[in-house]
Amino acid sequence: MNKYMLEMRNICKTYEDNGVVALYNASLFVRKGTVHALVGENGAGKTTMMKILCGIEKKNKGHIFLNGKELEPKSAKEAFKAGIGMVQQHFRLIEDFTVAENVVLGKERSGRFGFINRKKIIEDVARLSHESRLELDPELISANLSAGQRQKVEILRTLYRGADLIIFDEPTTVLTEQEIEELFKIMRTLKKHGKTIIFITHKLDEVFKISDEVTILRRGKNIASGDINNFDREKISYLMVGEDIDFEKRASKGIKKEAVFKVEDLCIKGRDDLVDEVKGVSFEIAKGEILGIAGIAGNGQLQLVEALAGLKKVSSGKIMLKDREITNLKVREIRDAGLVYIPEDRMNEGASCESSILENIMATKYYKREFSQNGWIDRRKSYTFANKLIKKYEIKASSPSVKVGMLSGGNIQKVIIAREFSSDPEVLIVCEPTWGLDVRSTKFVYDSLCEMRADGKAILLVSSNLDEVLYLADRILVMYKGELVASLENSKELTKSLIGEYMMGLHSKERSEVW
Amino acid sequence: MKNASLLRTFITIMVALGIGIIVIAFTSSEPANAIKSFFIGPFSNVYFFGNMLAASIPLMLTGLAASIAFSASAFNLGLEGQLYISALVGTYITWKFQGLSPFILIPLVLVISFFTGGVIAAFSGYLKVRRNVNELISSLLISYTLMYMGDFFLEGPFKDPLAGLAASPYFDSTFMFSKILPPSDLHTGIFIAIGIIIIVYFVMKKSIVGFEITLTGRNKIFSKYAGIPVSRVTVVAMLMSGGFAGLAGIIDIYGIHGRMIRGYSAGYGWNGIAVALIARNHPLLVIPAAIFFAYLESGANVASLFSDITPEIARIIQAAVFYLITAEGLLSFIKARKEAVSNG
Repeated sequence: MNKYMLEMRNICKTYEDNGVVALYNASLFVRKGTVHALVGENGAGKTTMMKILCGIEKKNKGHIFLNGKELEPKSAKEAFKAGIGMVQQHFRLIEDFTVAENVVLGKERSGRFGFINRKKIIEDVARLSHESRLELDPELISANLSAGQRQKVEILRTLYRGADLIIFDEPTTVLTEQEIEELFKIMRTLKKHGKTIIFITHKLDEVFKISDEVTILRRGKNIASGDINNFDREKISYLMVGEDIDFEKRASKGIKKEAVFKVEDLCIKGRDDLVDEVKGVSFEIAKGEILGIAGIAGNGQLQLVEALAGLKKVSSGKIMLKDREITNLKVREIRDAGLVYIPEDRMNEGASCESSILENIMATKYYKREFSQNGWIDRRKSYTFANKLIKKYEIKASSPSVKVGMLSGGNIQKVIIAREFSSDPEVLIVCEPTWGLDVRSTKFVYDSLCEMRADGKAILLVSSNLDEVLYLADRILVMYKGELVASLENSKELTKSLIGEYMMGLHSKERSEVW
Repeated sequence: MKNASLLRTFITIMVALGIGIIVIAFTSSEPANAIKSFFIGPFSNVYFFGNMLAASIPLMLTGLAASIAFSASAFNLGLEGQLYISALVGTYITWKFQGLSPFILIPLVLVISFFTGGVIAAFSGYLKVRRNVNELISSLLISYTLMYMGDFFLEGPFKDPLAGLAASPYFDSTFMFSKILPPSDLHTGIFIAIGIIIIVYFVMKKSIVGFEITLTGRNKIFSKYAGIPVSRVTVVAMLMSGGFAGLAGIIDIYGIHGRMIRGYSAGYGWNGIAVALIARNHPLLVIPAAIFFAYLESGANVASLFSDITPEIARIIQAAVFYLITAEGLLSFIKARKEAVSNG
């Protein structure tokens, strides 16, 4: 137990194409048979460090020792051979294949004449999944699997290839509360079987729940490491960002006023026109209120918000903004009526990465009289405006002409927020606003939302992150299979596990507390 | 980034020209002379030089046409047919109303030809946004159909019975653009073409329409989300694209031919696509790119006149140059388009 299984010493890495120093003398020591948490903000170098370990990226300097022997993985294959496996953040399964086929993919033990012995594969995978307590039917088709099950396939894949050191790259991002619990159970079982785990995350709760040791990276350097018992939340948070960030305090609750945004009995047809993806959803949002919608991805939230923003047709029902009906209006008409929308997919939908900050900001405003006349855009006015927003929202960019794709995730989100909030809306629809952002950017987003609430805006927050919903929302709706199955006041008694149960469809509509 | 891609284009051109030199060296018994006529020939006298610039005029406009469609991420492959039909329609109207003053009729015909090509291309754009028909296929097929229909008129109803080939009657020579640098073909149409390019450059850079086209071309999902009328923008971009192809056709008729001749377009539409690829859809860069194309064309002609290179060999050299440059340009274009398409 005392010996380090993995030693990464003084690793340096500079990306040649953009000159970014990702790692500078970063070290990581992992003991055998432990769960080692690797934490840090976005861009701290966690992923780069792991990519170097897995042979995906090349280091400029430094040494890696695995079980005392120096390791120089030149490709992912070599790292695999050395017993290092990685469970990716985004699962890469072949949808038409069964679980077993996906597990053995790339390492099929073929029988005579190069044919694959299907029966043997299924037996192998079944045995493996039983041994490691990853209960999963090997004959299921991958397309039908939930996120948690897909992750199990990924874990099985690393085990099948004989990995002793398993890296989990932010594994809980896509999982529900229940699935996260199950994942932790699996990780404990793996530990018991002598596997070593590196667990990358920036969720502090999880660090304390599962890990034995922790290493904190900040700006490409290891700041601290050691036994988890020597740390507490505040300390890690402080070490990660270099300043105290208070997440415990809940935002002040707005005083309820009249409803400005009403949705009545909304139905939205699915792609094939046969089933409704949203089935009779109704709710209201008052001035100065944040209404949270929780739910596992794929239960109709996306369709709902797209319909509200005018990107999808509503088949029946009504959407009212103040006294005006905005059902099935064009996107621009809805925006001009005072509704803005921050989409989940900020890289493709919320921003155009190939365009400049200026163009991204002007995309919803260029036609307004402030910025254009007789069909010509006033470049100076729009430039000044963009510059003002860059300063106000502290976007890290040298000028408005910088391409958005060159910015970090947090700064891209700032550009989107700057654009949307600056149009002085009545209603804001915000989806997964902090997905993949680091602590500092997350705090910025939360502060901005709270500011808008204090200004009397009505905000709809759709998020699969329950901490976020509990932290921000005044009221929480839970969506399951296209319906709202619960409407809960956000009180002290409300727990994540109760919301989680609604999200999993464990309670029917009738049993909800407040309606 | 920008400088790097310009440099890459420059290197590709150099490599392509190098290949040309090698091909000549292997096929000619007097390679020095052949190489000289191919590369220096177009600049050797006013006649060749003027003809080279004259040949670049339609290429400038079709290059502009292609670059506008590409900027909106729409693939207009029907330039050839749009050019052909617009030239035919323009010629017919000029011939029919040649009693009118050229100062009234020429601007009118230019507008009509613009909309002839424009409406044809816009129809493909409309099919794309309303019926999700791939504009690449529909514009190509429509273009071929229209070219055969044009041929029908030139062989039949609109054929000059006195002409030895399938061509329309000449219209009055007062309608012809005046020549610059006689005896070459260079005509005042070059100023129209350059003027249009400069206007389009400012439109793309500073106007609402240009902003909408650029943003739609970069990212359709984002544009829809931001409330930009993506469907309308696609149709408008196709309309402009087809329109400039149409102008290319009729300006060539007014400047050089004075009548419509069957198959008179030496691939102006197709080469326009290559011009746009070299120019990377930048309107102003279309001018040098078009002149470069015309330079290769006239180099081939001069070399076959003054050396033992047959026109076929000259075309092979030309083709090698075209292939390399288009392949390189196409590669970066496809990359960009792939990203755009994978976003929707």
